[in-house]
Amino acid sequence: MLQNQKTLLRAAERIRSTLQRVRAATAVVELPEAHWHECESLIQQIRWAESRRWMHAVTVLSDRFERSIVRCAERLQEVSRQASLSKRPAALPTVREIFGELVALSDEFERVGVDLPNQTVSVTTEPIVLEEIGFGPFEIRLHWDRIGERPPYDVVALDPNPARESSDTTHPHVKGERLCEGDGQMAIDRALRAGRLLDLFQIVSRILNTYNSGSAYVSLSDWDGIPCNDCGDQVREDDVYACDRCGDILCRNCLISCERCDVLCCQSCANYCRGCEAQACTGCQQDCRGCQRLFCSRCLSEIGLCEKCTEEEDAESLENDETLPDETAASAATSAGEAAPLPPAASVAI
Amino acid sequence: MKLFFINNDGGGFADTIQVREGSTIAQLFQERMPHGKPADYLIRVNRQPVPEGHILQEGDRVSVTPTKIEGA
Repeated sequence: MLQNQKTLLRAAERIRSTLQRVRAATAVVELPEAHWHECESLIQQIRWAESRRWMHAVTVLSDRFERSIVRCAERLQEVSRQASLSKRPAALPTVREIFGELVALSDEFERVGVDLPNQTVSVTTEPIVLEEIGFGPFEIRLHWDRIGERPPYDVVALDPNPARESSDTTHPHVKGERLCEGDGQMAIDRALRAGRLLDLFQIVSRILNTYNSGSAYVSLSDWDGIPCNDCGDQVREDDVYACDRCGDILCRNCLISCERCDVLCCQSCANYCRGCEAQACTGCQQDCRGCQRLFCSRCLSEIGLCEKCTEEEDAESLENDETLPDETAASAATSAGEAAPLPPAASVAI
Repeated sequence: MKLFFINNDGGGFADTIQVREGSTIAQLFQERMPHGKPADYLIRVNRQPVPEGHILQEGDRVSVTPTKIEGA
């Protein structure tokens, strides 16, 4: 027997032992309580934000809620799938059958590796190209000691072309070496439990060769795009702008031109002046020294007061000016030996 | 005669099925996947690709895997 065949035979024996162990283990049904509580909490937060008309917070929380409810539903589907699988358990494959599966892998994939110490079987796909975007070949690495866990395999990009916005998204359906199995999930589960390794690797490989625009981590149209910091839309590299104040990346639609100095900035760096309502950048805005509200440079006086505060200060000064002549007259009369007029009773110090 | 049929389209169910003696893989595919085109599937008999006229034998293991499976 060739050395290679001995390795395959040993691997087959170990894989069978794992399958036997997984089959013997009592299935523990875990309902997605944590996910459910997270959804409940988010609903409460959304209501709270709505009652205060914090619309941006409502949008952000609604997005989080949507993701949480999807995770919760996925977990429930998994529980349902486990229940379904336990009703119709696949026959335990023989060592010979698993050996046959391992041998057949070489007919389907150019590179196949069996690593006994690390308990892995891996295959390398052909370079993946979806809608003219190349993602390079992927290694699908099954850890047989992890059969029964989700997922027991990794999908590793060997020549990665990650999405611009997310370096661990190496494929529209792979994030952090984990494949989002979608329609292939149940077939993968069944293949694993039955020890049908060829089917497992074929299914994973076919998912990698398919693009589902409806639920990709990053869609292909946005693969090389950069997200706009304000609206989140993907922007092509040649259509990217940067805020002149903070440097954030922006799309053309989110650019705001400062009405005072004409720089282009993002929403965070622009504010409406409380006086003239012009949009001004952070460089052209200042707090009024009196009321502390934001105004543009044109609406503040030389001493940093808005129109209203300036009027109030003028009125106060005028009042002070009007009371001053009486005091001066009284002082002059006293010095001349005349009786000075008495101050109003309320002002007399006792 | 009996053979083992694995359909990796959808649920990935595997069952022992009964087919007529002398059936070809193309006939079996048409019977089991009436709405599918063979070109859209990887069809294997005993883990090997075969021509459409391949005559099935007792105890064969037939697997059918779609070439396109949508991830999520």
